[in-house]
Amino acid sequence: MPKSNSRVERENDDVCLAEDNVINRRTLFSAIAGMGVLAATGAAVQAQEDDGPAPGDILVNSKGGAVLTPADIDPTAKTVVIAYAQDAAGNVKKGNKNKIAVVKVDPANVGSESEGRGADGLMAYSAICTHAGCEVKSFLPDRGIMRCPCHGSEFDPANNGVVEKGPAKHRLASLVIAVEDDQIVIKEGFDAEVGAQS
Amino acid sequence: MQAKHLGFVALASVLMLGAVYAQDSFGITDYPPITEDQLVNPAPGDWPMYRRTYDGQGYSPLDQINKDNVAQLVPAWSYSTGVVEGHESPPVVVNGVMFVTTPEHHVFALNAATGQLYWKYTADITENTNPSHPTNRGVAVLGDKVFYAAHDATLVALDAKTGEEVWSTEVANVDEAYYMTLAPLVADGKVLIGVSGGEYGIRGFVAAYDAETGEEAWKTYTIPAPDEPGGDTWPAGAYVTGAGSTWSTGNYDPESKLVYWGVGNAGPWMGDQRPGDNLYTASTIALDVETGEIKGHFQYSHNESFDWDEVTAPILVDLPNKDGETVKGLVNPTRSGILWALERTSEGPINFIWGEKYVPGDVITDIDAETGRVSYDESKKPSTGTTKTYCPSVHGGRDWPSTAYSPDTGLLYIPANANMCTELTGAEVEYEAGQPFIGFDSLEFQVTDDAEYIGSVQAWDVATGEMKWEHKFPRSGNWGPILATGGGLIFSGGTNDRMFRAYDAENGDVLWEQKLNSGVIGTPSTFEVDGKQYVAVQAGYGVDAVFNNTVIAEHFGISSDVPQGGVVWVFEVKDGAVASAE
Repeated sequence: MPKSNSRVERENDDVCLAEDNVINRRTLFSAIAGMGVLAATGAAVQAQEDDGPAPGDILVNSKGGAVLTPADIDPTAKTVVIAYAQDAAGNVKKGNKNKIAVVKVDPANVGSESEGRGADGLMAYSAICTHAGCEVKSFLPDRGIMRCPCHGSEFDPANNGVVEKGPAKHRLASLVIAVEDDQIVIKEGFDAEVGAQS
Repeated sequence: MQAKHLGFVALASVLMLGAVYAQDSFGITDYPPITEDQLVNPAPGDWPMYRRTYDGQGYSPLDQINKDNVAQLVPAWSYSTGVVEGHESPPVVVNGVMFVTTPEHHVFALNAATGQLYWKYTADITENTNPSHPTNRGVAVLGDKVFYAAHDATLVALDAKTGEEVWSTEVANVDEAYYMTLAPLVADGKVLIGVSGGEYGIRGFVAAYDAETGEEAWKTYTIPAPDEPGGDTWPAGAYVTGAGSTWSTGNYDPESKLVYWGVGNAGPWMGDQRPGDNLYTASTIALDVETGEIKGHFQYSHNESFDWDEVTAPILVDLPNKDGETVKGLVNPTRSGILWALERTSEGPINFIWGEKYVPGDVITDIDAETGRVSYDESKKPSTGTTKTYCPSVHGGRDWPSTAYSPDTGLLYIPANANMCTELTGAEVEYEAGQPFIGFDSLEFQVTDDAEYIGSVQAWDVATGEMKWEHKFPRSGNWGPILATGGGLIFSGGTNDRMFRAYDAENGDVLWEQKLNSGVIGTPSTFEVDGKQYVAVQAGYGVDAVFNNTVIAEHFGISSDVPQGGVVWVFEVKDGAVASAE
């Protein structure tokens, strides 16, 4: 029931729940043409997301699928590298919420929250802004900050993705990664909720 | 929740404070129903809708506060909303009651003269609601009801006296990232709304609901299906995710019964992914208020590829056509940086009169003298796999903040932004329900190297198409909606210095300014209670103004810190200081 828990308050008065007095005359939402197809697509994506980045997966470039090496991550680039996780069987885990932003920060700046989560300044985060779901693509090398181009939210990759500046309220989820045989290997999956959050 | 506990404390307060708050504690006792005639012809002292009047002029005839005494404007009362982010809604005032909305889904009803709270409504928002733009632009009123477009695409009717819900209607599906931020428009006994979500592959629409029952009267998609007029301007299948959001309140002509509503950008952003003009994106559409049928349109940017949402409705004003004859017109300074003068016909079709650049821009190279169709410098137009820089930026020469028109001066007042551009690298994108459907690899804002200012307030003579004056802000953008009054004044905030200002409407001189608690992106209004005029505005910096200011501050090497926190401010000239305007 929409709005069943909406509240009405009055100054110097009791707080009452609208539920007590509301007449709800709901008009049911009519699905638009094509929604059935979209819903099916959503279900398929959901299935993929349930099988997100996992220990043992390696990072591959979201564009073209080439296996990422540490040398591919340029600390002076103005954009992050967007990666996907690929499991041992060669399956690439695609879908919006599986997008991984890989950046390289100055190892000297890595804070205690990020200690042991990266490899020589190499850090991996959910690429999806917690504000409105855009990809956090911009990197400001001078400040070592990731910025979402849609509304300007900033995140600190040296401190476990904490919000440097809103409108985002929640940090970016991070992976634990290591470098093995010149590949970037996931040791632990995302440590927080991924995607837009109110 | 601690509701019961709070109730106990509040009861104690009432006992301690005695009868001082008794009248208000029992809510609104005298609230005559608002008639449709009061919306068509509002009393001078009322501000009954988003822009006060159906023509969208944002003008009040009140002249008690005027050029002679505005320097003595002082706060009458203020009210903390308790929330941060962008406070954009105008204080709507009827029957001496002020209705304001804020982020976090609140609607406040306050005594307009004293600031005493009558009631505060907080909507229960569906989980998974898109958080893109945490703001709301106000309420509409009719009869004994207040209409509120909740963030989760639910239209709510509240009892004006108590704040309790009378009905609520689900307008769209939040799982597809539809959401709402606009003030509804009440016209012809219906409540009209539009939707946000243009970056998420929605199919935009305007819909109307019976004001009494909440039953849907009509729903008109802004992106036509293949078998509808304009359907041939899209490639096969693209209309389903073509965007065309409608997130700003329309204006209305009660004589022709036509509603003028703005339509946003196309989706995805790169036009080469959807060849064609892509009607009715980046357009104004004329809708029959009774049926919702699209009777006319004017498209500002065909095959829109710039994120130039042209959602702001044009102001309705009489102006000369190409032959010098006075006609019913529309004026609109659009995101694309062009100020348009158009003719609106009673049957619906909209004709081009003239278009002038009001801020510098390098995309539009020509405007067809007959049709108003623009030509692009293709080297500036974003496309898949290329990097293009274009001006004005995605925020445009003017974003959502409202213009105003004064019939006393014949001038249109524009909150403008110049000298900002966007660098955009286009990319392929696949639709995924509820996820961004934009299609870019990178997006950066830039301030032009030679920028001497960013924001300004401009005044244009709509009869001649000439700018009369401009007040520039060297180190700030301008995100301040404008109020024009019969006192020969315009009021507006919008800058990063937290100022709220009154200007001489004739020449732009600043006659009064007051630094408030936060940046002012609220829509100012003015009203009268018991023969006394007040000016009201919400302070509360947030949303895109903040990001825009970050870029400006970085460029000029100044602090980008503008404190947040919403406060309703109401100003007056103290008795004795009121000079007659006659």
